[in-house]
Amino acid sequence: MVLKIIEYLGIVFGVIILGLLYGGIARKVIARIHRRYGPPFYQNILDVLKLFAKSNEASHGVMFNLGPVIAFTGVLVSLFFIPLGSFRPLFSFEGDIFVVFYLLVVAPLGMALGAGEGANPNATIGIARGLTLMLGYELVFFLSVLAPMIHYRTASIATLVTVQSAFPHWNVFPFFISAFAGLIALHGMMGEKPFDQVIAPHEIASGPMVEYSGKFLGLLQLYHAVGIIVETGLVVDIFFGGGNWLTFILKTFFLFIALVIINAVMPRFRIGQAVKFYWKYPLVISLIGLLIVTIWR
Amino acid sequence: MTLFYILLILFVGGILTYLGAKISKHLGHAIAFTSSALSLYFHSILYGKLYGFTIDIGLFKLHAVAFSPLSWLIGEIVVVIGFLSILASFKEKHSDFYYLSVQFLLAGMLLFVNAYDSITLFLSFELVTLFSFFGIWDGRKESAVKYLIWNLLGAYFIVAAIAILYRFTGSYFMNEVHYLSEAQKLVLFLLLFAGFAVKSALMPFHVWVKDAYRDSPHSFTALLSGAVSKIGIFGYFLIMFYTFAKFFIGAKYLQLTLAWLGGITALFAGIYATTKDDSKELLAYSSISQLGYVVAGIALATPLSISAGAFQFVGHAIFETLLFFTIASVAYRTGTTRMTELGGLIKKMPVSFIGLLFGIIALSGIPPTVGFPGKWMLYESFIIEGRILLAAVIFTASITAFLYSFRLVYSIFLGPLPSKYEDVKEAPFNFIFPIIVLLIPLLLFGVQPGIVLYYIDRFLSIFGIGKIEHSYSYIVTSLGKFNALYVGIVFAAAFVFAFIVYLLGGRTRKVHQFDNFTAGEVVDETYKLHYVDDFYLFLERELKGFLKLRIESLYDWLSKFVDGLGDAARRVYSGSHGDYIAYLGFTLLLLILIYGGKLWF
Amino acid sequence: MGLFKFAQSRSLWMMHFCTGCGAVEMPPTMTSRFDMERFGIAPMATPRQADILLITGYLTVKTLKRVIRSYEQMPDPKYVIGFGSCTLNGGMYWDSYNTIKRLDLYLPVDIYINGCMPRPEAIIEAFVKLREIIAKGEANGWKKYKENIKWYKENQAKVFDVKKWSVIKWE
Repeated sequence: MVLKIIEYLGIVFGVIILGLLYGGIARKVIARIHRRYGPPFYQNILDVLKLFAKSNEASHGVMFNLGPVIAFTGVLVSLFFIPLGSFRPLFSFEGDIFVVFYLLVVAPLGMALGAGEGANPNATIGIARGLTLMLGYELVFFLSVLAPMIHYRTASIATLVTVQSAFPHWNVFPFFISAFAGLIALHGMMGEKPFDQVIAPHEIASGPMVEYSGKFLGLLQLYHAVGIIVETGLVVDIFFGGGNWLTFILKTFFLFIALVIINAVMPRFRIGQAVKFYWKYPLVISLIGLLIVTIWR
Repeated sequence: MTLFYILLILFVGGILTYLGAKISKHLGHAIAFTSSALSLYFHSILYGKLYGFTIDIGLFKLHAVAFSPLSWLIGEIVVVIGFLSILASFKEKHSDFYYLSVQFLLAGMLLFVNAYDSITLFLSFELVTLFSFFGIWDGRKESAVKYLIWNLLGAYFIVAAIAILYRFTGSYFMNEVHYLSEAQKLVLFLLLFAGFAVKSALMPFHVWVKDAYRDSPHSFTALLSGAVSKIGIFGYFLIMFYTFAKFFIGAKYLQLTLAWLGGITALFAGIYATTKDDSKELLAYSSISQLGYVVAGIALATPLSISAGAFQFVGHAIFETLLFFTIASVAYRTGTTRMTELGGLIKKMPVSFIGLLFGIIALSGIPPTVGFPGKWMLYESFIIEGRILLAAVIFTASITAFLYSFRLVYSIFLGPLPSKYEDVKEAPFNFIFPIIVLLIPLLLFGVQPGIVLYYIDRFLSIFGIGKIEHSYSYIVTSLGKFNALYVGIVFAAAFVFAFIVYLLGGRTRKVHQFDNFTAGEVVDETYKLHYVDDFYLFLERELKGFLKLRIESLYDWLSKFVDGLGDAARRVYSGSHGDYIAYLGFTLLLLILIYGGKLWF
Repeated sequence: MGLFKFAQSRSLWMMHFCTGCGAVEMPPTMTSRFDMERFGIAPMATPRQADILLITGYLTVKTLKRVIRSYEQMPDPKYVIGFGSCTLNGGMYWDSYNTIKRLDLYLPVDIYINGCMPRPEAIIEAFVKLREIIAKGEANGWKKYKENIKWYKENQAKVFDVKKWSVIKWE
């Protein structure tokens, strides 16, 4: 029992460090695309340490303080229900894809509540944009994930990973249309350009993070770091075959870097354009993918 | 005979409240409180027992039999919410007749869910309609009239069906109708369905909801949304799985159509809710949307989907009522329900905030609250049945729930506090008690959904529907597994971990709401810092065409058309003698032409 | 604790507030040619998220009010860098009626960069120097501000309405 808890804590710390490293390497990749050197790859870890060393942060009330805590909680809970490749020490058999879908909403909700108490209109505009964007990508993601689920008649992510055991059996090959729509949806879920309307530093002064400083910002960075692993991990599990812990890390890494490269060269959509975009091509693509699956059976 | 006594308590209590209120307001309150508390107590101890009564009224008999545990379940929801609503309404201003109406309404609803023959059913339906009309009348008369007209329409559908049923079967009992043709069963089913659909606010019969919910007294809206809408749901169970059971289980296309009706209701109502400025209108559309889920689940008629629909309506009774009580407490202290005028009340009314927060978390269907297991089972059942588009529609409706519920909580409780609400205090006990009471099942049934599911199993087995595999904590389907207790435990553990990380940071200082990032400027209340008007304007702009098509415009067109017809008909009476003589002449000519042959031959 | 000091020196977030004409040298420093991000310095939108406040050039009284307000909204530890000669002694506007001649009277400055304007190479040299003094624990301008708040406020009161524009309480 105690061993289990130590194991879980180890995984949580591992995921946090991994997420921060991913973020740092992403900054380096963006810098190289910009033809400059970029910060050291461990920069995000230093950022988080610096943030926790700050004091005298502004606080607007209890909900404001708890917002980042709830955001971090939400993403940790989702972590526990996603199999990390074949390495499944957590509760992945006790909840399936729908549970994960709804658990992933807890984190943005917590941050939204906290940012709301900050009483800054920039924060609320960012959140309203984020929720509107959610209306776009969530449906596309749901439909694209549904294709392999219907084919294998299971909604359990762990079972899907078992089914794709070796390289040629990755789901992305038979379901490449759905996977394509799913990747576009993932891009929006991660908040990478052209879908980073929520943060949009130049438009709304970083949106919900506008009043957060010090340890709150540190918690939000940790939330973002674990969120990277959780979201790319979900897509890797469903479409790219999971794998043992090393291949899982490599796959999530390359998927993430692919998204970052697109992020580095694109501007940002207007929020109305973003939602309309999602309801045009990605929705149609995912519906086509589903149609193929239902006809095939 | 205990049900009879409960009804007697409520009826007599209602009359005594009215009379007592004439003497003193507090006497009236005391009597109303006692009668509703007694009815709650007596009904709760009826758990698990069969009960019923028959009254002979000379012309016919009234039969009330609890023929299924569903009757007790809805009856319990009715008495609990009735008690809480009466408790909350003590602080609001009401006419003396209001308390009588509420108690008669509770009695009518109890009679409805225990009705065994169609006359009792119809009688209690009318009782419910009439006394809820009086309840809304206490708020605004036009909305009450709109409510009454629509519900009378529903009642006419029902009475037509009952009359046809009597003509064909010769009996008033609601059991299995065997010797009718498929077409006759379909017509009867649809008539009864339409009647119940008005009560449970299914599209296209939902147009009364917005006005009635917005303008009724706030504690009464909780009763309307939590209890009265369940009457319609009970009606669905009655016709789908009892009276027309064999017909319905076999009619796949009918099931699909009704399920899609529920899905469309859920989606469209959810989208409309994101555009509303008044918190009660928003919650009205939210209620319509959530009830759409219930219909979609029940109509699909598999054990899993019916359990999902049933669980969802129990959840809806809990969280929607909680939300309306929270709004009632805010409206009591601030005097308004318009979201554009409120803001920042979290500092002044923290308990109401907690109530609203958990209410919207349950509404959005986030584990581990009571809103999630129902939704989970709904998705699983749709996908197992292969209804993928329907699942997608319900999923989109669920996302719109995130949108409008965030708008609700932000506009009222978060954001800057207007200075006119500086002196607002927390709501009195009358409002806080219902909020806290409702929070308990919200969390309990979320982590132990089996408590409700075992009960649902019982009435499903009476209806002859199979069971689903579950325990107190987990539910298993052929697609996957959901363990609610684990989710709850992991949630708590993760929160502890995150909180410890939070404690590692430095000390904070409390700042005033105007010490904010405003690009270095000094701001005060004259600056509009509360982003609360046109919250989802970017979405409304994209959906402009869609938002224009509304069923109200169809009804408006219909009423104008009838008006026009009437106007044309009026012109027959032109008032001039020449016209009338001409009419007489034409009629004579017509008669000669038609019968002329007969006259001469 | 050494790790935290190391992190604080290697991750400095500056507030993206261009207070004066010296700010035109910031874009070249941020972009690919001189790349200050490799030192861990990134621009941030709000004072709440920033560690460094750059006073890039001359300060009028109008800007000074907002600079003081933003400075007080920043969390601790915070550093101020004075760009250009205007912050030292008034620079080219030494005889103007409208500019502040000595920044030191109103804000505690940790590092000055001389020049009009300092080129990106000079700015980066200043950042490296700032790193060193933070790592040594000598960048204590924020502590000085707290300890001598009354003196700073007296000076500020001579040029603007401190009661309206201040965020912290000092009496």
